[in-house]
Amino acid sequence: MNSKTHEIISRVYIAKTDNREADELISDYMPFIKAETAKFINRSPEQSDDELSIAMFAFYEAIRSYSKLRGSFLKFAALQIKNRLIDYYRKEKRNTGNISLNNTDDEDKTELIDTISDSRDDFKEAEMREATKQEIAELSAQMEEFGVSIEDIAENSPKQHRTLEICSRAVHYARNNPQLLEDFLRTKRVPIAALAEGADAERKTLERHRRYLVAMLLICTNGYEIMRGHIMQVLKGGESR
Amino acid sequence: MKYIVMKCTQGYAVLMDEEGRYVFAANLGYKVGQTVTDPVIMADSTDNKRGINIVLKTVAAAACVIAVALPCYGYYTKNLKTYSTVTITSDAAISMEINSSGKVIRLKSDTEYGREIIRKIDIKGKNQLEAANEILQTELSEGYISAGDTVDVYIDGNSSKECENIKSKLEEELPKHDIKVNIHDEKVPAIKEEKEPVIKEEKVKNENKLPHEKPTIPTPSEPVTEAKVNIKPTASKPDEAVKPAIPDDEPIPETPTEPAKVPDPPVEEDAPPHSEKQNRPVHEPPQPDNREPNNENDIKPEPPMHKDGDLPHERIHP
Repeated sequence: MNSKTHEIISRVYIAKTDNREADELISDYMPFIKAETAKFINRSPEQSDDELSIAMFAFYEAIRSYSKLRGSFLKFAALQIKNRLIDYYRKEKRNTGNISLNNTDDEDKTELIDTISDSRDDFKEAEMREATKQEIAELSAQMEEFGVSIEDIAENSPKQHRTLEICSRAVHYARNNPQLLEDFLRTKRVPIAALAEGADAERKTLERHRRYLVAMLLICTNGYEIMRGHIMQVLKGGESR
Repeated sequence: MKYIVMKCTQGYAVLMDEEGRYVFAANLGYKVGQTVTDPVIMADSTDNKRGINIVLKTVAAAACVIAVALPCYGYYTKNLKTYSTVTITSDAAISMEINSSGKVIRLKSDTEYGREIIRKIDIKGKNQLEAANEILQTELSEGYISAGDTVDVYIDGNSSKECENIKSKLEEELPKHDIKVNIHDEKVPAIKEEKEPVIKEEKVKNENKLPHEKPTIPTPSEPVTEAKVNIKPTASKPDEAVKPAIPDDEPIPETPTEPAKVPDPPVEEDAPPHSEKQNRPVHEPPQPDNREPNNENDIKPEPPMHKDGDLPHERIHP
């Protein structure tokens, strides 16, 4: 019992930094996650249920925020799952007056979504998604060359608005100086000093968000049209200054 | 806000928002490349940590301030705060400020003589009795008081118990000197400022001045005020010494700005300032008049009066 407890704690501590290990831990403890979700929704959850997705995400959050001082990991994770589901239900409660498009008519069993005309072009949308997926795959591959993963960027992404603005200024400055981007691609090093000087930004701030800047500068290089279009606000924000 | 799904795993998805932020979110059946709105984003634990850190830092800083301030306050109240004041009302009129442990913190005096004595004695680390003894001893040796004189000691404390305690200690110690000590458990009474006794006192002192004491005789080269001029004839007549120099019905003349306007020429003739030596008692040794005060401000402040109306601590030689 004791060795098992120690094993899970050691696995959790490994999973804190290793996302693959975190995924494995989630897979191994899926029965536990399902049981906790079932306690909350009073039925066995299905794989497509949002509640189960949120419970898994809560388990992942528990892995990241767990410390030995917090006691048993499983109790801690159970509490996290319960809190997350409460939050989710509270959020969903705002939409209680609305009728779901997936509601079925009792007589002919057709969903409401099928009865309204759809202005969206599913084919175009799927095409767009595919193109975006390719861009992301390319970006991921290119980031690998810099030794950066998407999770790294998510962890290194600026949280404060002020920091985000500073990074945006630096990206905007690099975009207006193609030579800097070329050097960046060639040397595979972020030109922190040049960016700090050109964008009038704190070198320390840029150093802290080096991995995030790698992703943003790569997006600014050739290709990645869709992603550039998505983050146009950032680039405009830089231009407005 | 719209998010592009960058990566999907079993437990989470990584999304990129329109501001360029990358966030962890719950994977609600997302696919890579999909644009989603309203995801379940991971709570930012760093914000909570920062909040806790700020609270902890504030509490720690407050604790540090208290840890430093409390001993300082304790030291101040024990050693530096004045709990009682003992005033020895001789010519010097020295007040001793005493802390809670009975040690003298500092000496104060409003008179020049008092300040002179204070400069001569060292009170560092002494208690109230030692300091009082030293003050009286110095005053005796310097001639501000003499054997047989009466000295009033006033005790002003926070509580009557404390005053009683100090009084009993002083009553035991101070009578060792050859002077009569009256100890009062009260504040120093306010002294009324009267022109007349001041002049009288000044006059008597000029007559009985010790060799080391400063005379209050104006020099002839200095402008002579009307008040000073009126004093001198009375000083030359010992039987009229107690009479006021200025008549009651006459207003006290103000100090003239120009010496030429000073009236009463007969006085100048009869008693010029440099003739003061002639009015000196015979038994006194001749003293040089090179330390003469400049004006009326150098008149010695009036000491407290005794009940019988005599000036205390004054040595009137026959």
